[in-house]
Amino acid sequence: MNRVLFRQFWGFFVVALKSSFRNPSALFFGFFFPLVFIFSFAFFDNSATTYNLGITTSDVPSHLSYTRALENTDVFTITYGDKEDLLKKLEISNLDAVVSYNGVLEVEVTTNRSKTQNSTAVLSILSAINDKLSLQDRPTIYNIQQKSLVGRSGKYIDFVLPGILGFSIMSAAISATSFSFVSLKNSLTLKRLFATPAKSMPFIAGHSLARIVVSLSQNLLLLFLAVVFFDYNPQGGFTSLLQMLVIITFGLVVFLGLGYIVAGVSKNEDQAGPLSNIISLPQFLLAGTFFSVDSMPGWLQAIAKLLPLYNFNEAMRLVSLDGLPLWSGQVGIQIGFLSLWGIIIYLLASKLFSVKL
Amino acid sequence: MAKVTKAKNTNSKELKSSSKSVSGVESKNTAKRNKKSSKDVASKPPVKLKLSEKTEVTKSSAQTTTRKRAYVKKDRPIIQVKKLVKKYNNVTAVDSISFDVKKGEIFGILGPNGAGKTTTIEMIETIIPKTSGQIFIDGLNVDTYPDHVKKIVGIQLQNSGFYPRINLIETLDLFADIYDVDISPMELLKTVDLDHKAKNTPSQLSGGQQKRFSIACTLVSNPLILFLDEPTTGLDPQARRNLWDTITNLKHRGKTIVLTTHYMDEAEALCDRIAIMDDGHLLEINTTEALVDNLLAKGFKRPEPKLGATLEDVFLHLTGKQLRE
Repeated sequence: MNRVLFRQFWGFFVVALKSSFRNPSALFFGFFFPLVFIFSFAFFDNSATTYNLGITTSDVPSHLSYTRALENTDVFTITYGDKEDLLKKLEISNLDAVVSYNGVLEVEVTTNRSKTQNSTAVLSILSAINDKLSLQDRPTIYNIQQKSLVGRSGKYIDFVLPGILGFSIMSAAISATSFSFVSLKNSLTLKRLFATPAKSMPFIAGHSLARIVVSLSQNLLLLFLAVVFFDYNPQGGFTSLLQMLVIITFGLVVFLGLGYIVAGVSKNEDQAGPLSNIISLPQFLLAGTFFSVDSMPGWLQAIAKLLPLYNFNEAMRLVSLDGLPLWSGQVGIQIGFLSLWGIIIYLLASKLFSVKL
Repeated sequence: MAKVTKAKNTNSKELKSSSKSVSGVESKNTAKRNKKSSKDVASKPPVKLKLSEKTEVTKSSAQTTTRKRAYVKKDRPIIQVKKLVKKYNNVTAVDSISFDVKKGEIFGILGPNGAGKTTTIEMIETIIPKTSGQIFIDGLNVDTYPDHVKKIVGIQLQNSGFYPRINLIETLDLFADIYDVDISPMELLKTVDLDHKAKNTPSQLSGGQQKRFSIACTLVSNPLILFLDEPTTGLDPQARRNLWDTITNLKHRGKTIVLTTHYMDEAEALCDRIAIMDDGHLLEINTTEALVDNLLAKGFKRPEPKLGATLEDVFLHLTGKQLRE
């Protein structure tokens, strides 16, 4: 009996796998779409924008002349204030750097993980301005402190890649799963299968595993390309990559459940598409895909941190940016929340989704 | 098999057998119907059949068969349908129909669109739930043994889909996995003359090829019974005739075949016995010859003299009988 079920499972798995790999649109959304994101953000570092600079009020002439020079560039939006206030603003990412005079000129830059490209840019601009000043105006000594608020210093790609992967696996899991089941239903393929002794368990399991294998292989390829061509560099190297793959697999299982919910609720492909978007787009925007949730207002942060995609992204970044191991407490909390979501999602899916096999 | 029918007919209604004999004399010119129907020689005037009488006929014949089964087990009908009903809200799609299908015969369910043909056979196939009634396949109640029933029947749905981007061989392999049987996909494709399309996907096939592939899928489990729901609807004459050959070959291989159609010529060419349905009711059930004979016995005359050929004959003469694919 078990052998029979396994054979059915394997049959469905093979067919679903082949069908997905031969589907050009799935390949596009699961692979090329995120690749375009990676490509564009890998070169995002050099883009010119204005940076928010905090400067402490001071009477020291060399500081003043430097401050004036900074004011004359249009790269900076300058805020004056107490050092303490400014540092607080720095911490919540309202500022990119704080320039202060404390006997020597100090520049404090955060490497807030979502804005690492800002800190490097600010530093290079500050030192370039310093070089242009005449000798007597130039601050004699200056000291640059890079403060790491969360995480380490790094390139934007290191921050953004886990977010891109998170979004791509979630949208692929939801839309590809729901779309394929709804179209199997509407093309009467399910009805044909219902006329055989096929069981629903091996059917669902076979399709789920196929989805996971497809997504996992796309993500592996994306990670490989990111490391080789876009200088992606996770903190823990190869072990981090392996742990990321574990999180990706777990996330896929959870997000697949969302796909089953959408498949169960929608009657046809026209409904499955928008419904998938309703579930995935808000998460895409809120859950820290391209920028850190920390830079959002408090109330929005609270909402964002409830989303399963946030838990996924956060777990990925704790492992890849901060180099924490998978079994550490901080990662564990995120995985725990994701598991909780998984339970809720699958309870709902079991109510809403049935294949009547 | 034919003897059982005979017995049933004589047992149940004397009127029927008598009318048959009358017509047997009249319709000898129909050369195609040369089966063993017109033997009785009792002659009575033809009687107009009413619906109530017909239902009675069916009922009593079912009873006869059941009684027979007790001591002649090998003649047990392979499918027994008893008072089958399907209601959708207030609409009665199938209204208490009963019939038997005998082993090895081609049984046709004939009727206009919306008569309840598909609903009936999909209930027998356990694809859709029935409202009431009983169905036995190979002596087993389909409610009690749905899985076993699904293993011994092969089903061609009127409309069905297959996995996208999966070729014919791969699709047949999937069915083999589902039924847990070992098959040679190429052999199966050869039986429906599709071996040259093995690497195509079902959606790349023509209408006739799709129907034939659909039949190949039903053959994977080597079933006792095949259900073909409007197998030739939408096909050109060549493809229809080709499919008829396929179906006849399957009968020669010992399969029992239940098919629905709304083409009279198809029912006439293929079916041993025919059930005529309309509006959820079973109007008549008999051998093809007997049905025609009965009608002629009632004094029916074709309005115009029959030509030596039909337009279809002309069409096939001009375009040839080879398949167009």
